[in-house]
Amino acid sequence: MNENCIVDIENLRVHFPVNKELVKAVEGVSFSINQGETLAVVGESGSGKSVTAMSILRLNDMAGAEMPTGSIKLRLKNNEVVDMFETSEKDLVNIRGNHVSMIFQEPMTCLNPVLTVGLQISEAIMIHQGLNEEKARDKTLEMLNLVRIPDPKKVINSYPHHFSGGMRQRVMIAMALSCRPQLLIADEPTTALDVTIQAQIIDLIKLLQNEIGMAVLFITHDMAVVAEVADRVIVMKNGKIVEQGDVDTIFHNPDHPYTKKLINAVPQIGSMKGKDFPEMFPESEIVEILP
Amino acid sequence: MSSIKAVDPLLKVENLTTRFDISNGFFSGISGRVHAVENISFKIDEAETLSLVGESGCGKSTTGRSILRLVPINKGKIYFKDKEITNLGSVEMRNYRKNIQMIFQDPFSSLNPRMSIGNAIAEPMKVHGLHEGKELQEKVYNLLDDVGLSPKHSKRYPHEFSGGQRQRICIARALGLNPKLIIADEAVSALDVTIKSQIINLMMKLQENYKIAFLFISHDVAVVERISHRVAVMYLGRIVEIGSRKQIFENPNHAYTKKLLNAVPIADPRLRKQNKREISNEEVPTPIKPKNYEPPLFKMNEIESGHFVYQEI
Repeated sequence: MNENCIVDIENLRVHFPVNKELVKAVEGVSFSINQGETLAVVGESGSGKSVTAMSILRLNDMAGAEMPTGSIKLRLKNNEVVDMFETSEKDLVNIRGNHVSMIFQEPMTCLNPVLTVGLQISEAIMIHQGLNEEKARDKTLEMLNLVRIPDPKKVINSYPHHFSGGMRQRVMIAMALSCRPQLLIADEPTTALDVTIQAQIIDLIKLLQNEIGMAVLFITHDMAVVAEVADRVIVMKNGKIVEQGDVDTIFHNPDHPYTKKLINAVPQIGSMKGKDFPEMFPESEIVEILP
Repeated sequence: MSSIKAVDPLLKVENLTTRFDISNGFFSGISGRVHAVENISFKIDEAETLSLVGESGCGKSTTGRSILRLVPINKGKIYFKDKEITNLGSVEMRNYRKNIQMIFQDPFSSLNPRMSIGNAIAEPMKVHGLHEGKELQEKVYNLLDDVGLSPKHSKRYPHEFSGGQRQRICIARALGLNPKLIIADEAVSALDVTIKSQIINLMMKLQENYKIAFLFISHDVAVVERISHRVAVMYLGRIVEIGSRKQIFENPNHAYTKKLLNAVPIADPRLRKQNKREISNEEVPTPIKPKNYEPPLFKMNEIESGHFVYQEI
């Protein structure tokens, strides 16, 4: 594995047995993520992007996936390289949240409604860094400051339902970054948010990435968000990678017809400049498959 | 399309206010109110698309529901063509709903899973006594054809279709009554991007063919820019800016409109750096107010012909 490579995935396959049939969610995916870069995985619903991301942390095992095949190599903070498929459950616990952490689409379902957010953030800090309660609390305050939550001293004793969606996502980010991970996996982190809040969260993730120097795996279905955040892009369809490349090439010189269609279909703000009347989208050739 | 100024607009809403009481329990009475829609006025002409754009909780859906009187309104008047429909009884209102149809965000939850889609499309026409027997059958086939499905699908059930196709079915069902106005409440928000543009195109084609007006409720600014003749930006229950699409997008005036437009991601990595924003953590304030709250007075300044901006006085 190359020096500044953090994750190296080769020929990953993940299948789920559903009603005696095999759903081939991921079919032979290979890619790598370098230190400090943002890799966006984009595709329509069901293209396998989330399953790919979950596999990195071996979260699919519990969802009833058949033992995935392929290899996922991960570089830890101490430069040691581990094979995720050969790591014991105990070591996985140490890796999750410490070396690699993850944020999800719906922060409310990820937060425990009966614990204060301060407690939830400091839990990870105490487990992974072995700090005592007092020191973990200081660290928690620092994290809340880092994600620009106003009045952290008050917030630390609040419960998740006190927050709006955007603030909850900030809490999730604070929790995810509390151990300064090498890699942040962000699975549709802004999809459930309003557009002004989405802009705030995207700006925040980019800013923190610079401050901490982590790599980000950004999963989204929104090509416009990809254009905002990504250094490199992977386009997925039906469990396979159809194209990957740097963001400029993907948007301005796409190779695969599916990528082209995906980009042409993005409603672009400003595309109607100077026009007096509404206009249809350029007719895309994708025809829905009839059942 | 704005040449039909002399006649009455298709729909006129004047000073519409919809509030919801919050009570803390059976005996404690009302403790506050959600000021969902606060004194808004607008009109829609025939075959015109007016978009209501804003963030969640700004009152756009409540506006749509208020027009159909699906929620009780507090104040204001609603005119359809020249007739006021604000105080119609439920039977009369049912007749009016024929003219104003609604499509919702999640097509699966608005279709009966145990009814074939042919029957689902036929049902409103049966209820309103528009067609019968063979004629009805024929009409259903035509509608399916109109929305890009085929008559052979009429025997299938909702779960056999994809999200985009289900939305087509809902559109067909709304079309059956020859409505003059369709209220599309986040009709394309749940769809994948490639399917989204197809449904938008379909709606625009139907508008051209049948001269339908749309009240297009959406939080997706980029889609709104495509489909609208006119745009109203809502914030905290109020329309803060209303005007033609060109006026709103090319000359935004209200601070919130500017913020909203600036927040929309641009699908071009080369334009990324010019688009620096300040890191902020501002949030939309809550529309829940104590029960004796009096909303501030305001006026709508006309800064260009047909372009109004909200100002408190």
